Amino acid sequence: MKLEFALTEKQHKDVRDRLFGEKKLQPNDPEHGFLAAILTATGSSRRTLLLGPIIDPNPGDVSWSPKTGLVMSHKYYSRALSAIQLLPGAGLINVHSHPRPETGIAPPKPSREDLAADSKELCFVSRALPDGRPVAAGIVTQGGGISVREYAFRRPRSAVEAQSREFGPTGATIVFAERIRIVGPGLRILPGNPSTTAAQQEDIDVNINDSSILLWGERGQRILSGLSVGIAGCGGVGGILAEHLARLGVGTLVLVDYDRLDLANFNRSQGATRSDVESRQPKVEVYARIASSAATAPNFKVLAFRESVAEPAGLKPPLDCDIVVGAADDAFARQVLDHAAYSHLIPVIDGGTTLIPNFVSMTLQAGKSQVVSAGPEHACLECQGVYTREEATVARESASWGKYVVTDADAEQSTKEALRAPSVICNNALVAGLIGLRILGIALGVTPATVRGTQRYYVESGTLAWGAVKKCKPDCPKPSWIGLGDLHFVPTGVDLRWREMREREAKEPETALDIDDYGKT
Amino acid sequence: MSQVEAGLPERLRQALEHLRSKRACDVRVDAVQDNFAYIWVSDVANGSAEPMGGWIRLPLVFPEANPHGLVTREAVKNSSGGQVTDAHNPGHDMCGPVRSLGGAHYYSWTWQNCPVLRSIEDIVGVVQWYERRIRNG
Repeated sequence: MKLEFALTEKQHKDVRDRLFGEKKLQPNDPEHGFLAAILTATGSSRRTLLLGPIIDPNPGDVSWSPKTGLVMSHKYYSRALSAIQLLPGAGLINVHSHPRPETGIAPPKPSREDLAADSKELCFVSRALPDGRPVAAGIVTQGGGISVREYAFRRPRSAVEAQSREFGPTGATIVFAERIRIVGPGLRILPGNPSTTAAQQEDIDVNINDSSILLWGERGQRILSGLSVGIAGCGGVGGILAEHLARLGVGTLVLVDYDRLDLANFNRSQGATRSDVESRQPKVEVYARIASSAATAPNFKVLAFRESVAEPAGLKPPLDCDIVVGAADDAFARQVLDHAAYSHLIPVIDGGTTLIPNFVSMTLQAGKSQVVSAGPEHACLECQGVYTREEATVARESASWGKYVVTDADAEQSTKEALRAPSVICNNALVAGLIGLRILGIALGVTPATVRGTQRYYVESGTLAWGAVKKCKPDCPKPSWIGLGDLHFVPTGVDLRWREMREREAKEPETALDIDDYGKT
Repeated sequence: MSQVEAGLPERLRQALEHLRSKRACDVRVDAVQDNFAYIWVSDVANGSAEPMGGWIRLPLVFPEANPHGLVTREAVKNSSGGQVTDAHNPGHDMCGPVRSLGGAHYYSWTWQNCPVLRSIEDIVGVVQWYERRIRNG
């Protein structure tokens, strides 16, 4: 499993203030350090260590001399261990500063002295903590580089093993976090492994992407190439977005949707063919194919999961991503992603359209297309009015939730038709475009003013405006979930629509659809 | 603790423990269907001397989602002895999971316009709210 390290932008500032302050450090100035809790956030193929609360050192707890290097007292370790034991699943990280390099974000290499001292101290810490809790060491440079390495010590089960070198400090397995994610409201991803060479950096095609490189440079294009975006829901919005992101040069797409293509959704399934509909292809497979053929990143990868993001199995893959797009148009899925955005430090961008027709005049009575972002330093989706707790409850209650019902039409006919919400591909494309721009704002910082909040297009007036909510309500608990990782309970469950489909397909597997005969029976 | 209860998410189990400590009555999980648990609370009352008991449908992810509906053995009477007709669905499918235990009347009361549930302790207020709804029904 790939290892990464993540912290919020606020925590990053705090770490830098503690280690460097305002004064520029000289090579022989004392190094600084601290102990902190770390928590884990686990996806399907990525495990992230999240920086937890820092345990403030008392005077004398951290000392430095050119001869001994940085030393953290046993008292300090002991106090930190007591504090960390109270957080279920939490482990410990020791972090210290390196004055050099003064510029650049290259991840610092630990010195031989660092490795020897950390192995000893962390072996002691690992034995003092309950089994399975992470222990790690981190270095931060004045220039802004960060490296974090996790130590795994074998736990002795007998006195003989306790004396053996394999079970001691030198028997540790050390793994570097490949990347460091700094989250909120934007997203910065730094290289984390000092052993990674320049040749192993994200590859880009400067010819094919030259028009966008003019805007954000090769550095920006490399960021996109290293970016992993999850798309939960591959309908009208998610499908278009998958192609946009692939063409932009995003390196990895993770698609999650359980639905199949049908004539009923063909008119908004950009890129899908009639033969996809005839063979009732799962949407994720169609959009994985379309994205692959459109991709401009040389090492493009697309992973398709026929799942619902509201269920545990469907949520895991997006938890491997740097940004997740919620395009499922479902309050249950929205609530699940809202939780994950804070606890797992993954910015979430939600988008959707509501259209209310007037059946008498055949005009649009009202409607809006909107894009909203959530996560650390953003107001949550709930506080921004994207879903309510009651809607998320009802969506758990019935497979028919959210189906559009025409109240003034003949009731029997309405039931027969199992009516769907009105939908126009142009609105889907607008939402996909705004989500794409929001991703660029968050990941590249190209438009810092457009990173936060709700952006709405009012269909009846044709105006695009920003919502007023910029912060969560005072009693909203989401800010307290930031960085809790696996410790936080994400309210997944059974997606009744997906279960209904699974059960139906288990009884009678999907057969090909004859488009010419569709609707005649 | 029953096997059904042992399989519930930890927070819902804690909420049930809290309810037991506050109401000193029989609180048990009789069924789980889809995303909801049917919680039998023996002292749910309508204000008369005799508690009638009832199954409150609580979401498995309580308090992240809201309670939805009450199932009872008999049609519920309000505090003045009249039938509660509000959202009364006799023999509704929602009674299915507890039908064998006598569940026969479903009141599809939602949590719309009620205070936001934040903590597991709010389960006490949920039961009180159902009782108020019965009394005033």
